[in-house]
Amino acid sequence: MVKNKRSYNVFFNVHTVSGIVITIGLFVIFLAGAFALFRTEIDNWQYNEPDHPFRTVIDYDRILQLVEQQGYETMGRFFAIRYLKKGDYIDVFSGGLTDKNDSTLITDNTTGTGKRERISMRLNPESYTLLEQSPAGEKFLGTYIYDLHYFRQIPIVGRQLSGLVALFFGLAVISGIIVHWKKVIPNFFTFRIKGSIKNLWTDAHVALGVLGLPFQFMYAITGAYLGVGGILLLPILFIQYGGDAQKLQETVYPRIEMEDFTGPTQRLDSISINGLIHPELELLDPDQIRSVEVDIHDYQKKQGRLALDISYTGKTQFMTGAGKGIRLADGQVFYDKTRDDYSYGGAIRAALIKLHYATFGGFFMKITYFILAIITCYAILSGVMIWLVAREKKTQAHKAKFNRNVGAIFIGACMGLFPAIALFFCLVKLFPNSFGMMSNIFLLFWLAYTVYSYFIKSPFKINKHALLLAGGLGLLIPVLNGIQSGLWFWKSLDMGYPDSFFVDVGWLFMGSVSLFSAICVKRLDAKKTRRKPEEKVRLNPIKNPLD
Amino acid sequence: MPANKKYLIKSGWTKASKFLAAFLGSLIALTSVVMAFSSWLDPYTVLWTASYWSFIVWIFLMLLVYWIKKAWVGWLILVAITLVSALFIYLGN
Repeated sequence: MVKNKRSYNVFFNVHTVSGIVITIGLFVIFLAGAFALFRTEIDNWQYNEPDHPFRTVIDYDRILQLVEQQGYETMGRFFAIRYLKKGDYIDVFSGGLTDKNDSTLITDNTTGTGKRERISMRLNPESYTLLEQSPAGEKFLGTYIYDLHYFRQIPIVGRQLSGLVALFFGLAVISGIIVHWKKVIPNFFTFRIKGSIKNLWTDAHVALGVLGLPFQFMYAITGAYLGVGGILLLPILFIQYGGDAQKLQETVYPRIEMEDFTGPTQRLDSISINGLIHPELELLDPDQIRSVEVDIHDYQKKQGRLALDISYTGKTQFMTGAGKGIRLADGQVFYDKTRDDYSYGGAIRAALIKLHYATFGGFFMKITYFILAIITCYAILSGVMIWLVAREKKTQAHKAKFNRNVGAIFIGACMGLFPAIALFFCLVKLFPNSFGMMSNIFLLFWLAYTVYSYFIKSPFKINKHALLLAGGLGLLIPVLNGIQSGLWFWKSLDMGYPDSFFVDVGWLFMGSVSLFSAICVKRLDAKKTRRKPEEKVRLNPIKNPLD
Repeated sequence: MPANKKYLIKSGWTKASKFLAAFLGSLIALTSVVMAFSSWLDPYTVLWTASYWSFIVWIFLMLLVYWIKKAWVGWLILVAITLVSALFIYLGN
């Protein structure tokens, strides 16, 4: 507790208000985000993808030939070519060729008359045949949940909104620790589960809040950076750079110095991309690679250049990633970044993103992150419960109905997401071919549960029913997966489907824990109601830390 | 347990003013400090350092505004920070 009574109350109020305003958003961020940590695993589970090594070496020349065969003009284009382990295919992207971008193109008589539209293709990495022309929107469950965790489903402002939620979460975390500061040590081991329900929620909130503080603070900052990082640059752009976005871009992401090509552009047909980067790629260990991206700028032109970007799984070290820039005309390497060699800005960005996505330390790091995220969800919910319980007094009687309704909607919208996600997992296995429809059912179920909570009101029932539903549906998930794909969890690991195994076992565990706690919560509450009459007489030995 | 009302602001206008100072005022003060630094030091380093530091500073400025009793004192401090930074930006260019 802060010494000054006024300061204490002010910080306490900041904590309460900033916390309660962002409750639903924050809960969605942390629960959906917890699942999003395993986005690739979930996607592989959904499509029954076996585990296969990363294809580090693919035939880039053949891909570019294929593009040309499809009738596209290739000269002067920008290409991004990426092999995706998830789904096992190659994605080729190229923006449309416009005369504005490249004035030399029209005057150059060597250029063909091929199509100039943007290219988006999906290729088979084995036979190099076209799988899909301009692949339709995402149909991946893991990716959908990942998008949900930064509100991508809300058009335009979704990501910025999630960034602001993260910022106010930071405010709530810091004001919370200020309020609790004086009692961190004396109350560290305090956990009263008997007696009043208010003490139980308070102790849980405080204990989990203090333990999760570094994790939560880290997410507040990295989340704010990823969500609203641009906010800070906006005034700087208009005041210091006179609105010249290009100039600011070059300050933040300085371009690599290379010689100017002033000579006439000409078609370079003989260059082989394979010859330039295959020696490099052949040295890579497929087990350690997360992604390999090849970007080609001004293809087939004299000033053409290539950027190779390799990212590692980072099981053994935190900062990983390598890159190379090569001039197409003569194969000269104009920048070479090895695994440990980061620029200052690059290091900051990589560290913030790695911390946020837990792409270091391997699988157990992600599981730790998951548990900490669920703990944070619990801290958020217990915060709402404290807010509610603290308002169940006579002085608040005039607002009792309003408080109850707000509480019911908040807890319902938060807890409803958990069974909704479980239902979504069931649905994609029941109807694998209609993902769009299933995502709507997911959202409707979530909404329906919120409405249902509004009518049943009691937080106890809302929590219990959500856990029962999530537990039941969660236990159903491995069964449905087994029926749909034959990959029963006791044999999927031996059959070479580790992601299928992991998701099934994860849900078995989560489903059992949910059901178990749903049953337990009943006992605890019954004990509490039985004690209630005498509780008022008996004095609580320990003073409430938040009073 | 809700915070004791006797220590909180009652007027709606003051509340709005405090929120504006905490959210927008802090942002303006913060960005002007970043700009002041970047006009004297290497902008690349300053901007990247600011990319994560500024959120921490923003949070503490918000708390500072709420901690200070009077809303106008909060504004005064933020405006002072902005003006001093503006002076440095002016001198730096």
